Amino acid sequence: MKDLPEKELAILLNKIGVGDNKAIEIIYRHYQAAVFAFIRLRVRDDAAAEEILNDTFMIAFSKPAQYNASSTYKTWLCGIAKNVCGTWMRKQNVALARATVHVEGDELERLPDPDWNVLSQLESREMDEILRECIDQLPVAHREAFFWTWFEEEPMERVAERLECPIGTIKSRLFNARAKITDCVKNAVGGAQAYV
Amino acid sequence: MSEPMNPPNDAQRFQELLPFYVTRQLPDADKAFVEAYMAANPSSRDALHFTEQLSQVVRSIGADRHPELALQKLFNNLTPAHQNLLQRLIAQWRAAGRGWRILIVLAAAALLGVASAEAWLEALIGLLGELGFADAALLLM
Repeated sequence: MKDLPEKELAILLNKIGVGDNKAIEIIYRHYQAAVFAFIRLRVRDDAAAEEILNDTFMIAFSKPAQYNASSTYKTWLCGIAKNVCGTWMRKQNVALARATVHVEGDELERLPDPDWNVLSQLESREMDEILRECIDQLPVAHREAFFWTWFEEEPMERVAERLECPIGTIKSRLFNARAKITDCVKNAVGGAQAYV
Repeated sequence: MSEPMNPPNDAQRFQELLPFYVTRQLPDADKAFVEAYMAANPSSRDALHFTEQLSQVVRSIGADRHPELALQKLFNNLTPAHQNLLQRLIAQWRAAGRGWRILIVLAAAALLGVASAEAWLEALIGLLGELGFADAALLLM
């Protein structure tokens, strides 16, 4: 999803500053889906993600002049969302203790090539549910890489910039995450280890 | 004819490029490599299928939400916080119907004792035009 054009965004933010609800609505409609997905991939809870989304826009719209255009507006919103998620997670000790699979480092060589055909055993709807559950079990850095790569469909150089790591790390992180998910799917359907 | 491929390195390169192949974010040369690799290694299509499926699941996050409800909640939470008193009064003034605005002006004028008979009459005619006689009478009673 592309950002709003800079000029249009500046006008809308000025309008929000004088209490224009229509401007709020336009910005909210444009960014809410992406910011929700960003949050949901961090907190693994739909209801909490909605609350955090609300809080994120509350912060953004309460002081619209704080956005100084040094990054894109979407990046700025995701930065706020990340902080709100952090606050939420610190309050949720139970959620923090939830199962997370351990992914060894970020080196491509660490994991063997898995059985990519693992999904063939599943019905489409069941497959999506299991994949969602398995994504939720990945470490947050891997889930965030999924967000920028697949939800936002950004090129690998940009994803690496966003996550502040080398391109090689992004490549291996995405590989290892996918490999772990094949393992998770295999376990979910009651099979043995997915690696071949 | 596809160029000769070194199996381990090519397999690794293929896997690294695949997440960006499914979103069409690869430069032409990398895209051509992925397609040549799949042509030479038919079983690699399983990895493509898996990656496509996974990317679709990520893209569908939040697809079943109701943003209207969330937007309404945001408005409810936001309105008192993001507007100062003057802005809220202006917004409420704009939101009020013309009839109510005239009534407010009349009330204010009456309180200040500065309304002339002509101004009263003009405002009353405006009120009747805006609300209709019956409604205006009810409001004035």
